[in-house]
Amino acid sequence: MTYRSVEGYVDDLAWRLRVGMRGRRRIAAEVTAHLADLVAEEEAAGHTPQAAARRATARFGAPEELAAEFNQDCALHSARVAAWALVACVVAAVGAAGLANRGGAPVVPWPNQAAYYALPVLLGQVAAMCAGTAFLLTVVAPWLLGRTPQTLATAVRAQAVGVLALAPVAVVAAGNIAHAAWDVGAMSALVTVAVPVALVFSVRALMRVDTVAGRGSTLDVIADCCETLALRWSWSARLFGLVTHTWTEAVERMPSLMSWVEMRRHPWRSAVAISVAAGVALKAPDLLKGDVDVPAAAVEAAAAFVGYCLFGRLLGLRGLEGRNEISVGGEAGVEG
Amino acid sequence: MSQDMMRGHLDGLVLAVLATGPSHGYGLIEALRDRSGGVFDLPEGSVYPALHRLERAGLVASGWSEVGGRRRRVYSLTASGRRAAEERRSEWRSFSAAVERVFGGEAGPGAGVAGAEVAR
Repeated sequence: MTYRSVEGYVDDLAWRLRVGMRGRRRIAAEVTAHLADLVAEEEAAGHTPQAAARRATARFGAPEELAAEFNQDCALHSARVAAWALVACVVAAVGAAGLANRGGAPVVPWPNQAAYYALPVLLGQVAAMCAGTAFLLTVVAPWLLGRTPQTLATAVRAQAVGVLALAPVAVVAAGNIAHAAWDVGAMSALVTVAVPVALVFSVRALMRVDTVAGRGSTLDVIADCCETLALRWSWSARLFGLVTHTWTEAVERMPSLMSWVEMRRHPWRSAVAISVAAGVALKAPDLLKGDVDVPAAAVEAAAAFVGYCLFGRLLGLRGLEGRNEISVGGEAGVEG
Repeated sequence: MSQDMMRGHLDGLVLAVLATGPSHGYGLIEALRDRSGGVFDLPEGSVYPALHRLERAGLVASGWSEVGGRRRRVYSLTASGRRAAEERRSEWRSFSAAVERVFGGEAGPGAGVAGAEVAR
């Protein structure tokens, strides 16, 4: 596409940009100044003003490619800010719940005892999972891998769910600021303020990331990060090689047993195994004290499995490429 | 040099040019072209996403100023930008020396034997 004027080119570029009003104005001003220099250069070389504008805009590059590059950088930045904000909210919510459990809670919590104590525990875990995934995909992985993973869309969806999960927690926290001890009140006030801010960042990220949304598995990103980290030192590279070799051998020799821990090829079976492990691990302190609480561990395991069923696909832990995995040990196919 | 190959090194090249002094986008792309003997002939706009990315990373600072009668955004390196430019320079030197050894090095005795096996 050729442009007969600098204004036409800048308008087209600005229309394609998803970088916010201020960013768009700044880019448009910079591009206009640069194009003015190019036009002056072309006119000095003997071209007519129209030909100079055409040549200048052609030299500057296709606006769609330029806008795509700006949009991608801006999307990553927005997603990163939203991930930090969500992590801060989760830390504040967990801190407030922890302080309340240690004795700073109001005598008569609003709206009632059950909501005050259960909401942060249940929804806080969902938010923590979402925050962890988003933080991994937008902060840790780009830093370790030196590139933006193809899972940015997964990260911002996880952020949105995490912030929405924290919204009722923030409402309950707001209703109890005045009647709680000062430390619990301060933490509750922080949650009340931080969650709406994180929601704004999350919405901004959602609006910007759709232009670069790509398919990708969080498991692939985790594997790439582990490999990159392992190859940084010779000892870790040797350890990584040993673990990989042992895993492959185990899959070949005991395919049915290993299917319970292979998340890529057998997501549902591995989800059951991980949920049971989570149930046992979360009740480990009680077990060490000799207080064996089997129903509580079973409830934790069931909650972890339900969480996987509800949020596994959203967090990129199942589906997508998993279906096309190469068979190992002669056992082909993948669970849905 | 292909544009894709060039793009992979653009951030480092921008830092290297800015290490010689502050510049605006137009001056920067001219310097890239001149210093590369015309080999780096990218679309001129491609330098701006790199500049904005580097500014967000805190390696570059910018501000509007009047240059040659026109209002332009001038970019300069920050202290961490100077350190990053130096790091990239030394990384590139060791990398390019290794590539040169592979591409331009004489074939060793092992390579000769392998070559003979293939020929046979």
